[in-house]
Order: sequence, then structure tokens, then C-alpha cells
Amino acid sequence: MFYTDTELLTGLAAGNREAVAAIYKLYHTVLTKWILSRGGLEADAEDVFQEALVVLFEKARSTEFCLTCKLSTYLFAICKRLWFKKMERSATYYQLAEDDEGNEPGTYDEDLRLYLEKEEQYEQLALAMTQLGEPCAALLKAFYEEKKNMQEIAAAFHYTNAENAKTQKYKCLTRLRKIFFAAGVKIKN
Amino acid sequence: MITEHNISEWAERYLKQELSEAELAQMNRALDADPQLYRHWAQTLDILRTFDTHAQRKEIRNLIGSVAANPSEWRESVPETKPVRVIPFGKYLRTVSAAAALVLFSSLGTMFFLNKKDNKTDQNTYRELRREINNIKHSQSKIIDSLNKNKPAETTEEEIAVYGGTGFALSNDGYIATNYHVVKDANAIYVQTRKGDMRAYKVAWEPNADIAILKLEDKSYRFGKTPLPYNIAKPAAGLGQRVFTIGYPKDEVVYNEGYVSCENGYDGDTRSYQLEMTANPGQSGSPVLDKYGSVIGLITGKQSNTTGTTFAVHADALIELVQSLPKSTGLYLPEHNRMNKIDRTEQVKKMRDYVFSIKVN
Repeated sequence: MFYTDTELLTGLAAGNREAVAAIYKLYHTVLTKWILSRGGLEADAEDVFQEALVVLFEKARSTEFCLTCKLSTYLFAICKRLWFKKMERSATYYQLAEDDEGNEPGTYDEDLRLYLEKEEQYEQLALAMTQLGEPCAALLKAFYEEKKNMQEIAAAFHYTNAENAKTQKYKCLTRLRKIFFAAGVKIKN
Repeated sequence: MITEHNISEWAERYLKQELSEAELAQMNRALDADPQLYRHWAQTLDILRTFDTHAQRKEIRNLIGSVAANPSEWRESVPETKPVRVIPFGKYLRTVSAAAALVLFSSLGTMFFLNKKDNKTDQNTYRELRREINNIKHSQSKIIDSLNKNKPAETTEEEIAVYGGTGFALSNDGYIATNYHVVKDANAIYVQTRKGDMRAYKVAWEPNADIAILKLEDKSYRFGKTPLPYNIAKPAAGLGQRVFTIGYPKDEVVYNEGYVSCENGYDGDTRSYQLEMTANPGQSGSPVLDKYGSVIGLITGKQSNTTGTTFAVHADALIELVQSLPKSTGLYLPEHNRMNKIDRTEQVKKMRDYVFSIKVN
């Protein structure tokens, strides 16, 4: 089966399993080889590749999405940067920036920076959640992460009804906000 | 109305795009008026977005992880290519050229040899269908030998047959037609009848047409209680005529059917037909019958590079051979066909007693 880049990206954005498998088929081997050649392990290569796919996924989902280069170029660039981040080899990283493909070198860095920032932001949020304590943390997790509906949550947390659970949830969210921002976390948007 | 207390609810609805135009306008006015409220509003949105992003990432990670865990979905069927070993050319130049010269020499030699052989056996695409039983017998007796090693291997006289073919009765009193190539090198010929293997001898043969007539040594034996159910047809069968045959490619009788696909046989031989019908070694000498149950020919061979092309000599040649025999032989071909009004299974059933496995020593 042959897909165009656009088909692959729309498929990935829609969470289509075949598209993911097709991207794997096309690029997994070459990128794994590249990382192995840089002294990485098979497991590192897998981590980097999967993370790069998540970056690509978000890129594909964003409303202003428009890929100005080939999918392979983009994926390879992201993988390289992720790998260097992992190794913290700033020297090599600098070198890379010079001999890059020259195709808008800024976009990769910007996309990656946004991605990592959000990742860090979630870690902070998770930290705030632990300070929030139970049952608030579990309640918020169930609703916002696991996407359960209010009836299920009311039953699981022994609230008398969904409305009651909802009120409780809003209270929890307000408290979380206070803890999160009191810690001095700044969010750039 | 948006306030400090219901800010979370509004933020949630805002992200789900559930707010109406009026509500949005009212909200914007309230947020513009109250910087404190606006800050809390923005913070709430941030948290909700962070949750959302994380939930999405988790989902796609699960998907990616599950694809990664099933390499069969995406890994090429070709196994990983091993790194190519590079052989320095200069170092092995002499060895390589010697090997190349050897290959060249041997391939030219083979070609020369094959060409020479080819001229000699031009007919190698034609295969006679007699069966070589000896090989099978040997391998079977070997298996048995190895099973009972303790017993001394008995070399019995059961190993009588070297070749096998098929024959069919020409009269009820012991005359049988078969292929000449089945019996040509025979020391002894055995015909498998209901009474068991019976010895037979050659009465007449015609190597060009590849037919032979045998007679049972036992003069009193009769194949069946009635005269033969089929007759031998003198006129040639037409193109497209449906035909069938029964013969002995193995120890049981086997039925095959097909049609006349060419009026001339192998290499334009006008004395035989080309049939589109599967035939296997051992079926040489089998009668070929048309749908009325008249014998129109004898299977002689097949084209070895195809599976379904079989050749059969005209029954006419058989009639000629019979007519050339002296009157004292007393062989009279059956004139009447008793099978033209019955269906195929009945025809085959009637014929079975008159078609035999022939083994040749």
C-alpha cells in the first residue's frame, strides 16, 4: 500500500492505525539505524522515534498546520534534535544546525520547543495534583484525562448525583489552579 | 453571568465551544472589566488545555506503542539485511579471475555437451507412460528391511515386475491389446485378472504405431461371462469428441476424461490423436473410448512439459494389426457396442473386468 505524505498526516491526526503502521514501515528502520550509528541503543531509538511521532501528530493536528517540507525530512530533523537533547551534546547540536537541510531550520526547533514545554507543563500540573490530595486529584484525572462522564464519576466517587459531582469537580479545579499558580509556574501561550 | 465562582464551568464550556454569541459578548465585557477575573480565567484555560493535550498525547502514544509492539504490521517481509561484507578486489584479483575463468569454461562446456545431446534425443518432450515399479518396490522393501533388521531380508520372487502398463481385452478368450513399449523388453508378461496374475505372451506387435497384442497362456480362461461390452471403432474420432479412459497408473483402476484436442498426435503424427486429458505413468495401453463406449484409441504417451496433453494411437491401427494376423489365430474383434445407451458410471462398471494392469519383467 502506498500513501502520500498528506494521507499519512491526515491519517495520523485522526489516530488511524494503518497510517501509523505505514510511517513505521517507511521510516523506522532508517531512523533506528541512524541512532544506532550515533552510539544509541535500540531502546533509545524506539523512544526517540515514538516521541517524534507524537510531535508530528500534534503538528498534523494544529489548525494552522502546513508542512513546508517532506514528511521524511521533518521526521528525521525532529528525531535528530530529540536525540541530541537526550544526549545533551550541545556541540554536535550546533554543528548540525550548520549542515542542516536549510529548509526553515526554525520550524523544527519551534515545534519541538512547544512540544517539550507542554510536556514540562504537564509534569508541573501532575506535581500540583499530588499536592491537591484525594479525592480531588482522582476526580479531576477521571474527568479530564480518562474522559469519563459525570454519571460514572458520581457512582465511582459515591456522590449522590452527577450534579453534585460536577460542583465538587469545579471546586477541585479552582483549588488546583491556586496551587499550580502559587508555585510560580509561568505558562507561555 | 461569569463570576469568580463559576469560572471553571465557563472555561469548560468555552473550550467545548458551547457558548452562545450573547454569552461570549457578555463574557468578554466582564473579563475586560475585571483584570483579576481575567487572570484566573486565563489560568483555568491553561490548566484545562494542559489536561487536554496530555489526554491526546496519551492516546496517540498508546496507539504508537501498540503499533510498535506489533512489528508484523509494518516490518518488511524480507528479514533484516545483514551488513554487506566488502571484499577488497585487488587482493583477490587472481583468485577471482581464476574462479571466473573456471565458471566460464564449465558453463561453455555444459552448453556444448547439452547441445550435442539435444540433437540426439530430439523426442525428449514425448514421454511414454509405462510405469517403473522397481523403484517403488525397492524403496518399500528397504523400509521393511529396516523395520525388522533381525530377520534376514528375504529375497523372494515377488519382485517380478519392472514395468507396468495397462491393457484391455480384444476378445473374451484371452487376447489383450497394449502398447508395444510396455512389453518390448519383456522376459515375462503378467496380466492382473480377477484370478490373480496370469502369464501372457506376445502374439503380434507394431513398433511404429506402438501397439502389441498379447494372449493369456491359460487357454480356458474367460474374462467375463458375456461378450465384450465395447467395440473397436474404425472411423477416426472428430475434433472435440469427449473421451474417457480407465487405466492403472497405480494398483487401483483410475478413471479420466477429456476431449480430442487435435486430430494429429505428437509432431504431426497422423496415426494418433492429441487428447486434452491427464494421464500418468502406468496408463500406457489404456483404451480411449468415446461417449458411446467405442474404443477409438490407445493411450501411448504424453507431452512431458505439459500436464494435460496426452497422445493416443488410432484404434484403426489396432484393427489393421488384427487383420494382418493369420486366420488360424481365431481373433475376432467385437462388433457390437453394448454400452451406447447406459450412463458413464454403468459403462465404466461394465468395462472394468476387461481392462487390466500389465506387469512386465
